[in-house]
Formats: sequence, structure tokens, C-alpha cells
Amino acid sequence: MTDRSFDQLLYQGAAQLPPQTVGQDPPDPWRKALWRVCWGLALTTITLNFLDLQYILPALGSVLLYLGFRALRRENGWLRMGYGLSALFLLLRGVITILNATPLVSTSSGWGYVLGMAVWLCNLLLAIALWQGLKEVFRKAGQKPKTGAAGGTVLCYLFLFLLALVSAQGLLLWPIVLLWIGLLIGLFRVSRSLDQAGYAISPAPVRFSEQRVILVWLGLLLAAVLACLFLFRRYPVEASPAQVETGQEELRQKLLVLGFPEEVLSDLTDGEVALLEGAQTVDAESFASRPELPDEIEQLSMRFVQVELPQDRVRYFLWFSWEEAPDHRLQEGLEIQPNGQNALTMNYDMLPSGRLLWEEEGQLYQAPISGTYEGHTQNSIFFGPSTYNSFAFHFSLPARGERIRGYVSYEAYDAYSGWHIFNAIANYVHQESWLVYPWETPLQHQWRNWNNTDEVFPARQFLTMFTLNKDDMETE
Amino acid sequence: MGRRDEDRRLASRMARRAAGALEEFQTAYTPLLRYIIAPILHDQRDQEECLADAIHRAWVSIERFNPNRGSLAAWLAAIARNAALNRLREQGRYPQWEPLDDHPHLSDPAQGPEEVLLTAELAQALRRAVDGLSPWDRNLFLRKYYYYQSTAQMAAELGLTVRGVEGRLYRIRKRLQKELRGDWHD
Repeated sequence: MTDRSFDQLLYQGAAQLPPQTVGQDPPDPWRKALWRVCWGLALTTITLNFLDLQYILPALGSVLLYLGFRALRRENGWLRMGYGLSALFLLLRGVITILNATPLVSTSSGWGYVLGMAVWLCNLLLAIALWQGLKEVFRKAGQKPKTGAAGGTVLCYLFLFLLALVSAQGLLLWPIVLLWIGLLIGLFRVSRSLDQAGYAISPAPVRFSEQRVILVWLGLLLAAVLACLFLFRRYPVEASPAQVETGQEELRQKLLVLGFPEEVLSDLTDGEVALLEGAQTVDAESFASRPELPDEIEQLSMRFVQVELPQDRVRYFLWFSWEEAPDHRLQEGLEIQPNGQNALTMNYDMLPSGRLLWEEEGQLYQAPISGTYEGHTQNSIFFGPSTYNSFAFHFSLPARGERIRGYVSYEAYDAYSGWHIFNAIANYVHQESWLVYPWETPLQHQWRNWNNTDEVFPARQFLTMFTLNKDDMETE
Repeated sequence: MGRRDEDRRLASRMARRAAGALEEFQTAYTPLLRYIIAPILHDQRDQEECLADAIHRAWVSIERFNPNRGSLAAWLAAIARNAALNRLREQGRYPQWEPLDDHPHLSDPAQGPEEVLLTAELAQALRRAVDGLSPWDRNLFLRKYYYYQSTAQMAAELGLTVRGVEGRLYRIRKRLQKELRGDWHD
């Protein structure tokens, strides 16, 4: 039998198929496109913060939006506008997805806010385009528009946009949840509203199938994200040869007598030692490594040193050393909360700084470490935000090298007369995988929810108690 | 009101010849009827005449519609399809092996008893084979062989390229050929 004859038999046989096989409903020209649009709007709006769905679903949703409006682009002016907007939205989402794999969005809340607002605005305009476009479809079909559900979704988006503008927190989030539910119900009803008028729609032909568009787009995004995560996995290390400095001999000797740890002192430059002229007391706390434990971070040891100086000045050194050089040389984060009980007046004119030191083939190398003084906000759903201040250092260990150690130092003023005790906290976070999305520093990761045994960002915390004006205590 | 209830309501109004029922029916379902007729009849005038014919047929036979057996849209789609095919046949532009109606007993009187039996056997075999297709493939099959849609129309409505649709239809035909091989003879 030829193909043509078989085709004829199929036409003949199809005419005799029973209703159960032919199906409850005839085919339609609109349902697939409209479902794409509605699902696209839903997935790009609702945020599910687990299993990375907050990134996957919007990426998929923006493609679905584009594919839905692509099919409807020739129907009327509003849907054509929706197509243009959906293409812009797809690009915007793509840019956001890629930027989230770089330090740019992570380190600048301004960028994140602007992009977030742009997304919300796009969603709102797309909902308007859909609403008005559907009205035109009903008019074309000679029917009274049944676009209440579509109009309702526009209202939901408008309220969500306004709430996003004012960065609604706390109890205002509950109305947002209700709006989301209303939005989902509205979108579902929209997809069913064209049961009759939708037959007037004529979808536009396409050059690339939906499957190809989805696979290519998501594939490109994934490749770009992986490339960015790999490129930004480490900070640059400005290495230069160094020498062990042994000047300021008399002062170094005095500091050793006062109790300054020798291994820390031997790493300080002559200039840094000179700043300790007139040192009155030295207080040092040690935190030993635990090399018997399996995690890399347990190879880390620390020394926290306080030097009381004349005129109520106090200088601090936090020195760290890797007992065994770690395999992972990605990002490191060091945070110092220096001022428990507000015992100090911090010297904001002098930002904390320090050095990394290591040896390669017998040569000593150094690289600068610089820090910032940052405020942090922790959010409680019941009590709202609370803030604290700390020094933050972001750096990477050298790609090669042994005997890796480093230190940072900062200066402050004693805020009280008389002896007093206060605590200082040092947190060290070590990154063990670059496959972390979105890109963030080790400290940012731990600030969200501190966990020493985090698999990718393990940490060690050191709590120290310092005493100031100890001589006053002894004379009392 | 659910769709089934809506179907009942409209069918009941039409059966009672209620005032405004015809207008309501025409407003609601003319787009559907046009959609079904357009792939079969390409001439604009033929389409309009067939549309009027389909509306008339639905109006006069509305009491045969049973909402428990299917939707009003499916029932009307069958009426529109048959009206369009009949129009083609009247114009001598339709293949003669196509039965005059969906009912297998009302096949072409020129066929003898053996052809009727073969047709019934083939119909059963084809039904089994089509039921075995995936929902996606069944949708494509029905769009082409029951609703006579063109490849371009199917591609646009399903978000595929024309080549993609042709490829899928080719695979569907090959599968059906393989499954029906024992059920007919050249």
C-alpha cells in the first residue's frame, strides 16, 4: 500500500472513530499559548525559597511568557506589545540570573533594588497587555469581553508592585500571600475565559520550536552562570616578595617580655612594630587548631592580641595560621566584632588592614588584606530588624604556597576609665566549593544563618574576653 | 456555573426556542464553527454558506445533544465538520472512499458487504491503534485526519515548526502502519 493510500485509509478511519477517542473537546488555537502566558506570569511572580526554586522557576517562567506571547503576537496591538515586553522581560531575567553569579548584585544593594523594581514593573505591564489583548480578542469574536479575571490579576500586580516599592516587611507580608493566591486563581480563570471567543485567535507561525527555544535559552543561561561563578571564584591576590623584618629590635624585645606572641611578632613589619611604641600591656588569647578533625577549617589556629598604648589608645591584632595548607583556595571571610559592651571608641579614620604571608620554594611572599567597617541587619519576623557593626575582610589564599598565615590590625580608643572587661568575637569562614548560586561572600552566607558545619562555607568562631586598665584593678 | 451546566442551559433554551436563544448560540459558537470549517473549505463564500448550514443543523437537531455524552462544543464541532465535508462532496471535490456519514453502516452504497465488513474491522483496529497513541500524538492525528487541519495551522497552534509537525506525523503514520499491518490487505 502506498503512503497516499494509507493516508486515505486514515482519513476514512478517523471519520469512524467514536466520541471517546475523538475527545471531549475539539482542538483549539489559543489554549496552549494562553497557558504558557498564565504559567509564565505565575512562575515569575510566586517565590518559593527552597531547592533553588526561587531561581529555576522564574527562569522557566520568563521563557514560557515569551513563548506564549510569541504565538499571539499577530493577534492585535496589545498582544504584540506583550510579545515585545516578554522578550524584554526574558532578557532582563537572563541578565539578573547571570548577574547573580557575579559580585555585582551581591555587593551592591542598589543594583538589586533597581533590577527588582524593573522585574515587577514588567510583570505589571505584561498583565495589562494580556488584559487588554484579551478584550480585543473578545471584540473580534463579536462577544462581550469576559476579562474580569485578567483585570483582577492587574490589580494584584499593582498592589504587589506598590508593596515592593515600600519594601514591605513583617505583618504586611500576609496581604502579599493573599494577593499571590488571588493572582493564581485569577490566572487560572483567565486561561478558561476564552472557551468560546478563543477560536477567533490565529496563532503566528514560528521559526524555532518551543522545545528548542527552551533548551537553548536555559542552556545558555546555565553556561553563562557557570562561567561567571568560575571566573569570580577567587579574589585577586596581589603577591609580592617579602622579607622577614627584624628591625625595632629593642621594642620587639620589650613586647615579647610583655607577652606578645613571638610567632605573631615575627610576622609584623618594622613599621607596624613602631606603632606599638610605648606599649603598656599586652593581652593575648589563643585558639588552637584541631588537626585531628577531618574538616579543612579545623587546620586553622588564631591569636587575638591587645596592646594598650599611651593616651587611651589600644591596638589589636588578629593573627591566623593554617596548620596544613587547605586544598580549597576560593574565598575566605574574616569578621571581627571588636566592641562588645561598647568598651571602645572605634577609630573610623583608620580602616583595618593586614597581610597574608606564605612561602613558595623557600621565598616569603606577601599580599595585602584590607577590610571595611560594616553594619549588618538581622531580621526577626517578630521583632523586626536589629543591627550590629563589625570589621569584614574578604580575601583569597594564594593558589600555591605553604605555611600560609596572615593578620589584620585595627586601632581604637579606650572608652572608659578604670578597669573593665569586654568581649570581642572573630569569625573565620572558608569556602570549599565555587558552585554556589547566587554568588556571595562566605561572610554573607553565614550572616544569613550562621552554621559552623555548613558544607560549603564551614566556619570557626572565637569569643575573646579582654581586660583594659588592668593596673587599676590591681590597685583597687 | 460549570461548563456542563452552561451547555445544558443553552441547549434547553434552544430546544424551547426561547427568545434570544439563537442569538446567544450564534454569538457564543460562531468562532468555533468557523474554526472547524475553515481548514476544510477554503473559499470564503463556501465557508459562510456552510456556517449558516451548520447553525441551522444545530438549531433543528439540538434535542439530539446529550450533555452526559460530551460537551456542546464537541457536538457542534462534529456537525460543522460533517457540514463542510458534505459541501465538498456535493461539489465533487471529495474522495469517494470517504463514508457519507460517521456511522459505519451508512457507508457508500456502491460498496458491497465485504467492503463494509473490512471498513468496520479497519475502524476497530484503527481505534485501538489511535487509543494507544500518546495524548500529544493523538491530538496531532485528530487535527490532521479528523479536522483536516493543515501542517502550517497545526504548527502555529502547537508551537512547533512545520518541519517538526511533518516529522511527528511521519512517525505517527509509521507506527500506525506497523500496528495495522495485519488488519488490511492490499
